[in-house]
Amino acid sequence: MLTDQVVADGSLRSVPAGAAFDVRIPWYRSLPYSCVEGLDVAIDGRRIDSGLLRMELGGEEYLLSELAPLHDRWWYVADAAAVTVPLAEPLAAGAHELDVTIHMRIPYIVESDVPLVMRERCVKTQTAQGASL
Amino acid sequence: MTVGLPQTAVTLYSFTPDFHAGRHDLDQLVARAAELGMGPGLEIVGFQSIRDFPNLTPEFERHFRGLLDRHGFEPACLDCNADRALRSDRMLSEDELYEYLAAQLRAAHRLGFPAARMQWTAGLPVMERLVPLAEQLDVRMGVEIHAPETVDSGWVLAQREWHAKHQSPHLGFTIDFGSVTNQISPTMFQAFREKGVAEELFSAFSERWHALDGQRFEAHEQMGNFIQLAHQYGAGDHAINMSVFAVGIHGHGRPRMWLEISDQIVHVHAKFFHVDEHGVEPSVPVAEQVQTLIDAGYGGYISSEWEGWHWDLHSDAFEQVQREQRIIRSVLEAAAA
Repeated sequence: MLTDQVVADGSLRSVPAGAAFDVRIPWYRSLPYSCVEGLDVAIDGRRIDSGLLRMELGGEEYLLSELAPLHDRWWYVADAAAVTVPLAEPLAAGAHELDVTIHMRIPYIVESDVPLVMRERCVKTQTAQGASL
Repeated sequence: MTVGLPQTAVTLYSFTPDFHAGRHDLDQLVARAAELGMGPGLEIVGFQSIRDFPNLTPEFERHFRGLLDRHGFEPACLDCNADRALRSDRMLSEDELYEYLAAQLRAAHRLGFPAARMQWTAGLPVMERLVPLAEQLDVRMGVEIHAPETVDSGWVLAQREWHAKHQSPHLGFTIDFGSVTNQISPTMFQAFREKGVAEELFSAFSERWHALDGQRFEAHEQMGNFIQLAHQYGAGDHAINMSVFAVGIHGHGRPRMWLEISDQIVHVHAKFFHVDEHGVEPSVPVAEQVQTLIDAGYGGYISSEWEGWHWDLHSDAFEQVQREQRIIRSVLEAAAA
């Protein structure tokens, strides 16, 4: 659902720590932070260790592992979350392929006590902003 | 007491792609829907249209009521969610789920909604406990019969029995047109064809889907079967989405089944996938469904819900709702004449 929206258009940028881009909820409604079950990121075919990714939600940065207990904080459906990807050097100028899969638990679709987890994969090539030539 | 004919309504859920992409905010959606004459009823999903739902600031409450008044809309239904799996470590307890839904009911009342769409995953014990609050707030709760559920599903039968004993008008059903479909939407196959999914998979899906007509089945088992089938034909990343769509929004019920619960229909979602330029929706028998509701003596809202946006990135949501409402209105006008 809303698969093509996972990576926000034109959001890839070079930051001192490496790269950053925006992700959106691939669902029609807001969900609590605790429903983010995973995020897989590869840049130019290089898989990034998910344990190193940081997500900015509601003005605060979190490691993915810190989101699980936060069932009372809400990721509003119209808001983007900035994802920071640590790289050895800031992202180089030019086009880069982002391959992103977000895993969201859908908290009201539960069969035999097992909730549905949607995994939406979005691949986009974007030109990095703020990258030095 | 005579019951009038049903009235048209629209749920802003139909415009999810426009809202999600930021092309229209809540106020703009309401204005556009009013301009296109989609009322008199308006429905929203609480967790979509309202930031921090179900907490409402007095400012938002005033703003929302003023917005609907200004555009001539009547609040029809607030969609609530029974998020049993809110926590990552365990399911919510019945007490927690009660509180979670009670807060949403109170929000419905504050915003002037006469009805709340509920979800069966809350369970009958929790729904029963909510009845006194619903009575006090005078918000009628309609638990949604959504594909693949039908009026014969286990939880529906249990709630019907409860109704036979208690007769409360505050706990009934929301009927979803998607629980009664003729076939998987051709526009869904078209979308996955464009993504390169093999043609043979579509006939295999159709065949498997029709094999379930008139059968009782477990949704999660069928979901598993469809996913497996999709993988056999190399659907890859699309396997889960295609299966969720096939099983989870294309139901096998028949409209006449609704006559069995005619005194318990609180609200109606007129779900549909695509109405073409000739006014034809090949999957959802909209006219027959509306006629059945009239025959059932239903006098509430029929709320247009365009769901084709999951896969159809080309159609205009506003045009789609207008086309469906033309079908609905033609049946209502014929009945009034």
